[in-house]
Amino acid sequence: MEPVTKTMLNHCPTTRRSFLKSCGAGIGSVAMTDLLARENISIGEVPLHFPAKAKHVIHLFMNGGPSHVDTFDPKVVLEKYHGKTAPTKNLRTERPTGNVLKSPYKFKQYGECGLPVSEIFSHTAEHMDDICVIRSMHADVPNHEPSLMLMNTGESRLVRPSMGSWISYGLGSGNENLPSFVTMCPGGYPIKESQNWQNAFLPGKYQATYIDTSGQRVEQLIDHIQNTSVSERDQRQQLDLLKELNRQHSNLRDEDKRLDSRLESFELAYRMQSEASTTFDIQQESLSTRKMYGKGAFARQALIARRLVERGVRFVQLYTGAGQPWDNHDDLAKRHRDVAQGVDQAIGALLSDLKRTGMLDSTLVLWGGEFGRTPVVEMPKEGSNQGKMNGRDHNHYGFTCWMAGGGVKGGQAIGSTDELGFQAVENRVHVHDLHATILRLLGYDHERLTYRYAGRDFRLTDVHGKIVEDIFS
Amino acid sequence: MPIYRKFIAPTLLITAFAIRAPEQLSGQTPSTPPGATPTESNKLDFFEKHVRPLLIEKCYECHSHESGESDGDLFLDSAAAMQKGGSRGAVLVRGKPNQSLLIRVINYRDRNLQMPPSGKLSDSQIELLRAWIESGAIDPRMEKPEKTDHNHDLATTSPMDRDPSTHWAFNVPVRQSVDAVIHSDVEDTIDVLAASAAAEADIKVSLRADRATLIRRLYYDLTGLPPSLYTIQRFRNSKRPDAYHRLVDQLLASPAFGERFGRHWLDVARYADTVGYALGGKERRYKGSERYRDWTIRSFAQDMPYDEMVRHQLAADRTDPTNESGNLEAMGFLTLGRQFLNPLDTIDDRIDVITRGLLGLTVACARCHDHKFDPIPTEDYYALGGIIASSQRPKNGASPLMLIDKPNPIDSPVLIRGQMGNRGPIVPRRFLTALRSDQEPRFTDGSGRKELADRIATADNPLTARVMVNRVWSYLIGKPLVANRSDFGFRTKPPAIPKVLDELAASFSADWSIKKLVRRIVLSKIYQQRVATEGESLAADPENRLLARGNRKRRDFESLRDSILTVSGTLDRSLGGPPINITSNKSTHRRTIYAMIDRQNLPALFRTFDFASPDTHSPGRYFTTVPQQALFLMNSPEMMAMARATAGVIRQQNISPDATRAHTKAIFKQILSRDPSPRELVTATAFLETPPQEPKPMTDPRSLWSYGTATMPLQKKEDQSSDFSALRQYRDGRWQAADEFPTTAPFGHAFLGKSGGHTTSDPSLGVVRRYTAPQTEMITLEGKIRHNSDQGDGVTFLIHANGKEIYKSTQLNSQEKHGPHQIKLKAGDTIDLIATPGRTSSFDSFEWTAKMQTVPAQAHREGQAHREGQGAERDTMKHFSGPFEQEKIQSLDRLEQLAQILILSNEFAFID
Repeated sequence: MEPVTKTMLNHCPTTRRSFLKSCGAGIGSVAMTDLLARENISIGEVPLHFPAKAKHVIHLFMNGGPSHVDTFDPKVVLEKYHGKTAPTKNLRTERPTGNVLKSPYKFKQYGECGLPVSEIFSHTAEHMDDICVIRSMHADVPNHEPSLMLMNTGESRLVRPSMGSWISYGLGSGNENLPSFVTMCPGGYPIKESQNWQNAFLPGKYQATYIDTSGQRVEQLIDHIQNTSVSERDQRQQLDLLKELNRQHSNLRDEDKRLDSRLESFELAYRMQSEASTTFDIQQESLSTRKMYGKGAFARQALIARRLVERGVRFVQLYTGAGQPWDNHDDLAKRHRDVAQGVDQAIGALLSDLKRTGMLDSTLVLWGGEFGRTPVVEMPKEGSNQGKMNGRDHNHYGFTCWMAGGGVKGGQAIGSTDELGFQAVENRVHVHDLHATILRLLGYDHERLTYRYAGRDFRLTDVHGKIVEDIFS
Repeated sequence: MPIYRKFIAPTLLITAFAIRAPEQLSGQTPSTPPGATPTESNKLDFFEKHVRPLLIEKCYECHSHESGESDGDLFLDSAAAMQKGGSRGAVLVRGKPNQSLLIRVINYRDRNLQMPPSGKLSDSQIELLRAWIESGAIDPRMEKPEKTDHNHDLATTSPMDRDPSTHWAFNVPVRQSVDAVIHSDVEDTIDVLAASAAAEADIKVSLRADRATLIRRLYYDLTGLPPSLYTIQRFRNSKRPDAYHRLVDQLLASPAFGERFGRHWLDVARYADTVGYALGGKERRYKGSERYRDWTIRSFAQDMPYDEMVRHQLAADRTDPTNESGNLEAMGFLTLGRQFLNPLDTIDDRIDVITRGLLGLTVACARCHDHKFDPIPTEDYYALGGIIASSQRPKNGASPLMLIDKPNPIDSPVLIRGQMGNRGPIVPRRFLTALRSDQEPRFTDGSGRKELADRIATADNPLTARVMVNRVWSYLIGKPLVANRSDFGFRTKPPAIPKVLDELAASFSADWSIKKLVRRIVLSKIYQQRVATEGESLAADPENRLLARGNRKRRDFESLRDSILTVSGTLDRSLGGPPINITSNKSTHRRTIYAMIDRQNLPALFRTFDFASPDTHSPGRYFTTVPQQALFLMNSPEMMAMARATAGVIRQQNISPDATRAHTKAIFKQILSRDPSPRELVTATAFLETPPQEPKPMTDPRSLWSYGTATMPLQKKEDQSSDFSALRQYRDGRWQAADEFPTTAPFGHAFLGKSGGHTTSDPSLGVVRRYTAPQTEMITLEGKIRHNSDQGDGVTFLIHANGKEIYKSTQLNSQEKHGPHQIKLKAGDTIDLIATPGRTSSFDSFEWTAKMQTVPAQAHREGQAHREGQGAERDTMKHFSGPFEQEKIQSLDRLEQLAQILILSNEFAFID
């Protein structure tokens, strides 16, 4: 059992005030601080509906839409039809498409399960026995913006809370010294920007804290985490004085929890200064660990992600990069390889690392984009992929996500796309179903994790969502 | 598994229910009034108040879907389940408690079946259940109880068949009369109503607050700003009996009132200055958005009647078509929503802001199906949709915010399930079914917007005045009368004292004067009560539904920022104009209402302090407490500046520097507008008198590098420093030996620049980039060397750590990566990156970039890493620099630190 849970069981809110009052000034400030700290660990706003293993989620967001037939859903038949008209009619996607395009990559079987994986994900592939590949994902439209919104919030057009916000709202924080929902993206935003991690009508504290991981120092990563104008000692003295003044203020008044919790929040912030400094400083990891994750911003965020969930953060989302790195309408062979190279080693290392520390049991790792790509080539178009016929268009009819850890049964592939990989046909899993399943893995009935707003109860899956039963270990 | 059991503990279950139905349960275990019996009229209430909580607390743990337990095959969480019973048959017989199994088992009469197993219920609890069964066991709980999915109906009858007149909020409010004044302290009808309700519930009413509290409260509520000490003293010392009235009138007349109430309204109107997401770097700013903000401020300041405000906001193209009176800007209410790709979503946004914002109805729920709870058919949604779809923005309007009617307005079809291609019957443009008679004609005047406005802005509309009065009440009293401020539908219960709302709404709709309404409320006894409670009233009415005491308020984001600016003496009170970015480095001292609201990427500061979401209509603010708020207040440069400015005000008072007590007093007065208590004076003065500790200067990474030459092979460590001599001249981004370039031997072409340099002409004299460690640290060094010519004899690259060679490599028209090297350094230790020529220095330009990651030695101990304890990056490119002046750190002195703490205090943040 992880430490947070232990503390949860010790949680005893009704007696605190009376305890503090009865102890009065007799209790040392250290003990008091300690007490407040422990109490501040939230048990979440919504009790779990089921016992669950997963307590954290790391979402590896492959923004732009990675091609499933080039990664985790190989289609041998593409070789046969390469350069020819597909035997079935091309489904209509965003742009005109043409003949069949075979995968430029080699596939190999991995692990005891023998699931095939493309050479561009060879590090990740080492973990196939822990990974459950869902090959029958489907979404609603072949456009980035609505699909990003669908994947992140369960609603393509209207403003709705993101999955991370819902989960933070449900589970509460596992460490009040850190935000419960963290999003990282190096060098800027993905498209749709902060809407991807919005809290919408949920309280503001459930919006992700966004971190641009192109910076490396903690003060570049978290707002106001340091004070250069007041020494540490003086700030401690300031807060002691504040505590004293606030106590005199509240002694003159009836009990009001808000007064106490605001006082506490300064102490928490004070502790957060060192906690966050530590958490975000990956230099504190051994050289061999850092080497295992590899170079670059994604490796950095993957390592930070591990350090965050280790410390109780609920939902960590890592974007591949600003804009849409996976959106390779042309030169796919090179560009997909390059983008994969930036993430694969770090993902493999993250899974190894989580497994090594035992965290994989309680951490659900989700990999995927907002949709996949067509098995047929995209036709050249003036102003975009002019003169090129070596990329793939968006494809929402069928694509791949995978999950590992957190109660997921690894070493299996769920569902399938058609012969070419155009459309999910067997065991189809809509994005709503994925959401319902993720919530279930975390212990929630997706129909009952709700929030009353504007006259009705909202939920992540709206009126949809079917649990993918095969996924549970 | 243990966690799971934990979550179905009874108290948590109650909390879970309270989240869903706050109006039904206070979250408290009910105390049982002796002899309580359900009467004909209150059977439902009786169930909700007494029976449901009891069942939840005592029975659900083993008999409910919520817990997943059904011992004895029995659920007790819906009426049907209780009828059906479990393995022993029906639980109850309506009207016949003695024949009901439930009563038998709770009486512990049957030795084999005694419930609840944890212990017998009290006599009064048993009596409650008996009385409930006797009176017919009225039970509204549906099967799959508390199913919150909005697909499931609230009740078996269709909401469309509900008679609107059976719901309190759909009946036009009327003025109330009261028989007698029951207390000399009470004048207004609403006070009499509240006082009687409190007396009936045996709750003591709080006393009137003292004048210092009242003026602070009034200033906050009417202006959002704190009063100065002088203002407070004048008010406290005033002998005039009408001093309070005069103060109220004075504040109502101040422009700050318009700003304060204008900002409240902007929450209703989901105001922002940007359109939201725009593809491909398109302009996001709403042109002229601030005109709506300023119109709002002006309208409240000038007390424009509310019905007029509503008409302008919906149909100023008719009420002020040429913008003669500046009212066209009011249409920003409709047009400043988020920009959606799909026009249907824009229509939805506008329907929502009109209906929830002005009417307290959730009509947007009826987009895909009839409303699940209220008599709002899908036709109503598309009737309004037709009105909006028949409006457009003109090409050359008198205001960028205006809408006009399309030349050929059309009715909209119902879109079945809200789907674009799935057309149902065409619906005439008209008002909502529940609020019009069957005979009422359809709208015919253009789009129908003006007619819609008229049907909203009228005293005949039962909702308009009530909704607005409830909002104003919540701004002033701190809690609304009707908890769901923007949903007055069937599921929303009337206020605890419905007559207070009706009286205020009825009189408000006579003249629609907001200021008159505000004035009446703040002059009431209810408003002026102390927050402190009398006797047991806190326990008896924890939610303060009976209005027997004041509510403590916490400053919202705007008021907090504006108040800090006020006490620091820097508030810029100028009015109106284009929005200003308040989170950029350039500080601005304008009131927060003038801040740029970028709805796409609302700055973290706004979110951290619970600013209203600018995406949809916001019924009210959240007030969360998160450490990010504290971090901003403790550490942000903005707050440092405010602390300095506030202390600066005190310094201008020319108090003798030694008079620390006088300083303490002055700073309390400046920030909290009062004298310190004797104890505060002692503590704070002691703080002032303790000498401050200078903060550790942040290391400027540029200062760690020096550029020079050194004799090769380098001497041993002891006389290292004498050996290194700096290059003296910095020209065009290069450190070099002399003004002229190239210069005399042995320097020749020698230089060092951002990405490399050139060797000297002497193989025994290297060009050196030297790193000096500022602390004991572990570094990891990596780099790349390159020589770019096939002529000459190449360049030799060396790395010396404290004079000891750790790397050496010669490149001729080639390149190489080196490292990572791990090196431990003490403070003052050096790393030299050296380049030397071979026999000839011709073609000896080289490239060399290197990076170091440092980890301070003490950081290896977890948790000891505060501030100085983090790793840093050192980079030969990034940190290359010519001569520079190190930034001076401006630390806070003690007075400034004290100022900051008083600003951070709860007293500053909360209003009693």
